[in-house]
Amino acid sequence: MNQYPILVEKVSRSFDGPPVVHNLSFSVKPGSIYGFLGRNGSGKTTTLRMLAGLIKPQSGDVRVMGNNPFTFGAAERQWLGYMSEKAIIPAYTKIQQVLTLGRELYPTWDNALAESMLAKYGLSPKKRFMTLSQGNQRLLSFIVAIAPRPRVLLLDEPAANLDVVARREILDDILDLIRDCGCTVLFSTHILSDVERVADEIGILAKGSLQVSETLDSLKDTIRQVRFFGFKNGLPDAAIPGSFRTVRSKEEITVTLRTNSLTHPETLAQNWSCQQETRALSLEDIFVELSRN
Amino acid sequence: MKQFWSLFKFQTKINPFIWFMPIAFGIPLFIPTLVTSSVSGSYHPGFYSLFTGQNLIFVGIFGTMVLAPEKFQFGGTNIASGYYGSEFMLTRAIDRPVLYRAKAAVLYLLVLSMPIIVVLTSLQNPDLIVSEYAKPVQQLCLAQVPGSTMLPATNSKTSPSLISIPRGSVLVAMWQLWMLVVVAITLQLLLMFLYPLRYGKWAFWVLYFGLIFIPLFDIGTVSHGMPSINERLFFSFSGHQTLYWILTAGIFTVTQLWCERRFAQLEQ
Repeated sequence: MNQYPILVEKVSRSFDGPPVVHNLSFSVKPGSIYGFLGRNGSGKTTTLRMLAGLIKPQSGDVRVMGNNPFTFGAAERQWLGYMSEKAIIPAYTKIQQVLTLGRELYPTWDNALAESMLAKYGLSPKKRFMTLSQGNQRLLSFIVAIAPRPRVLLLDEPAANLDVVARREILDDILDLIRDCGCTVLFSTHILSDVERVADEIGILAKGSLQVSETLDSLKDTIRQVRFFGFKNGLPDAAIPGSFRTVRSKEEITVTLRTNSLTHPETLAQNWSCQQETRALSLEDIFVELSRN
Repeated sequence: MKQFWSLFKFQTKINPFIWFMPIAFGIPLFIPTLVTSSVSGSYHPGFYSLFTGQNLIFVGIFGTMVLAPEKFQFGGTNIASGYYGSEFMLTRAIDRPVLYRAKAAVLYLLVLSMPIIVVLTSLQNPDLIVSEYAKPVQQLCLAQVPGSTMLPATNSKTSPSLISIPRGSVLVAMWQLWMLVVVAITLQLLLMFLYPLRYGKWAFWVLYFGLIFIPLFDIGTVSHGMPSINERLFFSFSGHQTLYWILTAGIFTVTQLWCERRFAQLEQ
């Protein structure tokens, strides 16, 4: 088996139009939490649906626990938990019926966990899914995704439509789960505070392509916004290597870039005979800059 | 087998309202039984065309709702996902062919429950005496329906000829059951064939409504004094019931296996 529980290699996918996901590659280490960031329509859900085995990539390769998820049978699917961004549990079914199905299909189904979470959030097993509030529908979807004790957990916007308190509680439960079983989590979101609280690694997706994929600390340490001004020989025309976004005016250039030996702001300022001002970016700033790119 | 029963039970509960529909749609199936008396009855409802009218309305609606709502029901995949749980089921620990088998079992339960009740009901008053005006149909009936005999008309000038058919009521009920089985098999094939096509949904519903409205124009039902195709088929079934059922079972098995494999390869 491949060492990465989740592996996406050069994957592209379109739906009767331009590619929704284009040449996407990333991997998630065992036991880590990977935060998948992107604006609405950036390709997050399509990627998760490919990983869940609902759709196939048109090119490239998707692997979950070393195998193609589209060909998974019951045995392989026992280890894959999936929570859709939509309310996909049948509307008229009762919570109890959903839990019974889980118990019957999953040998590893943790009924105590499911029932304790229902009790924790005050959900009666007799209620029908359609009668639950949006927040409680998300909670039940989450319970159903984690109760089988999966090895890989795919969560598509898990905290969407939840109030702030419920969102925090859900994320705490995700952390508890990982501490308990060391499962690998990939969760997509556009709520940055969620990512900052839990993710070990972050991928930022924009227009179907991955802009960055690394740890939060590395991201914050290496991506900078630099303003170059006071040019003695006029503005340079050359593109700046490693830049994500460049804004030029008559007298200055503002660049969001990854700093390294070649693109160190001071080195660039020396080469261009200008002054520079470097600003560290928050995750939100980085996300906005990369998404605007 | 355990997985099948779990999925089957769950599928029956996904939309409780569909269980009211067999009653509404099944009432017409009782017509032959209802019009049967100790004196005379009718096999004429058995002449309804196989793929038109109530059979198709009934099976077509259930088929799309149960087998592939996310593709063939209107309202988009969001509604289908929510109401029928297609995406939910496919992301559980299941084997896709077994899920399809469970769905098909629910469809057959929905479609065949009423016809089976009609068959059982017909056993209480199995024999049938039918009135038949058309000579060619009389001859066909006497030639092909086992045990059928002419009875003298009550008034040779004004009354139609009467034909006595031993276990005729059962025969008509079995014919209705067989027709619905054939329509359900055909529908399975059609849905799974059209599913991956870009305009599959529209192709299906155009065909569906086309077939429903064809009888309004009397296409295929005009007999010009000769037995129609439907009448010939009915009498042929009467004479070769065992063969028909064996062939149908074979076609059903092959269709079911093909559909299960096809379903396993479809994107949602």
